[in-house]
Amino acid sequence: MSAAELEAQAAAWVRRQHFAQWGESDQAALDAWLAEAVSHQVAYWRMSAGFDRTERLTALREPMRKGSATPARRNRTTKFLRPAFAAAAALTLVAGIAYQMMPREKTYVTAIGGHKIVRLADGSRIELNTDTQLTVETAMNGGRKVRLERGEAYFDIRHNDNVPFIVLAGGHRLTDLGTKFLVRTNADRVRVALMEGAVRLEGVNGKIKQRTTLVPGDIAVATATRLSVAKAETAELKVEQSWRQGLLIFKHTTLSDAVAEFNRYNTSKLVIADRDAAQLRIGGTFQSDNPQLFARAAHTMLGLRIDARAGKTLIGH
Amino acid sequence: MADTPDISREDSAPLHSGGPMTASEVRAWFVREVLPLEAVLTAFLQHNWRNAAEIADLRQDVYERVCEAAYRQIPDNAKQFVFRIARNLLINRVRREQVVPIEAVADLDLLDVAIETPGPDRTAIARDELRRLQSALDRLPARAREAFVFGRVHGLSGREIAARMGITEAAVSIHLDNAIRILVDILYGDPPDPRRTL
Repeated sequence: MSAAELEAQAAAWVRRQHFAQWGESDQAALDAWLAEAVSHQVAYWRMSAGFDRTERLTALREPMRKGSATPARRNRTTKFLRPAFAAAAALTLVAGIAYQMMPREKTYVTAIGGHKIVRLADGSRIELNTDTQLTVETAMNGGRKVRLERGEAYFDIRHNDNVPFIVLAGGHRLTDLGTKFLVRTNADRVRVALMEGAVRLEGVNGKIKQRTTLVPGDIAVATATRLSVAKAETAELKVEQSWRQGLLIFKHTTLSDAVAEFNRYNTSKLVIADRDAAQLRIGGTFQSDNPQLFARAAHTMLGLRIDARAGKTLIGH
Repeated sequence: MADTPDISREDSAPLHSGGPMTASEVRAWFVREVLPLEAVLTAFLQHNWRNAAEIADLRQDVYERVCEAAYRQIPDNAKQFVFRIARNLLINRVRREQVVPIEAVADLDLLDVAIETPGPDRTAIARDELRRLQSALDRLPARAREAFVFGRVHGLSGREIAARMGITEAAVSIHLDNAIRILVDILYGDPPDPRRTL
């Protein structure tokens, strides 16, 4: 196939990914195409990376002008506010504001090792991972806002054009544009992995200027001063979500990282007593609630000594 | 599966059938180290190959070979590696076509000089990126630019762009594909700032 044909196909994938509905089946089709040949990968990687560089163009977005290029939603509002409806609209607006001032709030918490699924009235689903706290705020107009105060959660959101779904975490705001995503926070740091749809990520206060729109496969890490976005393959995204099945999946993971993961899920802690052992790399699938099984496997396969004491298990040479 | 943990040492053993490197590792390296060389690589190919119509194919070939090798091992020096592959590719083509353009072979020996051509200054690129993007936009065909600005700057979907422009979604797709290809060519293929490199 000529370079021109490959480029045309790669451009079409990138266009569909960003300007059309993009779901799991689309991603699967893209993954299959990429798996066919290195030539496909190279053409797509180049096109996709180049396209990502145009992200900065959103800085050119101008304030709304009549007749200028503006999102369709604003237009509907403008039409709605025609004089004949103005009075009724004003009333609705006042009522809306009054309702919004008394939103319903509910807080959900999981303990270490906990796992909880929250279903919202609109059909959206939130799955809380271990040691997590979040508050769901529902305005009477249906506006939905979630504050992820601690931990990690998976969001499967029913998109509504009129009322956005907002997640606040680690000093950042995520605005859902129709989507499935994973958010993990830790003080002022937030990590977002996007499985489906699109999400806008931006700082909450004026100090954080960075903002970006994530597409499926993006894993973003944002702090008060930094924002980085990496691309993940479908398989990696599966690993990211393995906690939803109560599993930890390791691939070429250092023992110290694996132990840190187990300790997120268990009050009975694993401790590595040996610096060299910490750097050994392991792979495998484990139940997140069974650190003893993991320790025994480390003993059998890596020849490490296991020493179980009150409330913790030492692993070393 | 959770009951039978398959723990194993992985200090040296690769996991992936295609090679020790994963697609995302190769991709990250390719985007970070190889794509920024595109302007210099294209200039090198143009300088050493008469048929301008084949430059894009040659470049694609170079990228493909570079990435196939990177799946086995990520090269330490991307620039040297890319140009070595490009050079070998040209030599093989010359041999195969048996029409030996004398100047091409001679120029290949000047390759070491080409490699030392200073690359674009990365901080300057970052600073100039928005201005570059704007001028790249200006070089798009009018309808392609319009569609792309609606989509990328204002965040409209293909369907919304079609409504705005009063054309079919299929036509929008063609404009967008066109815009993406030309922009990517300009962003990677052109020298970062003509005034700076001249």
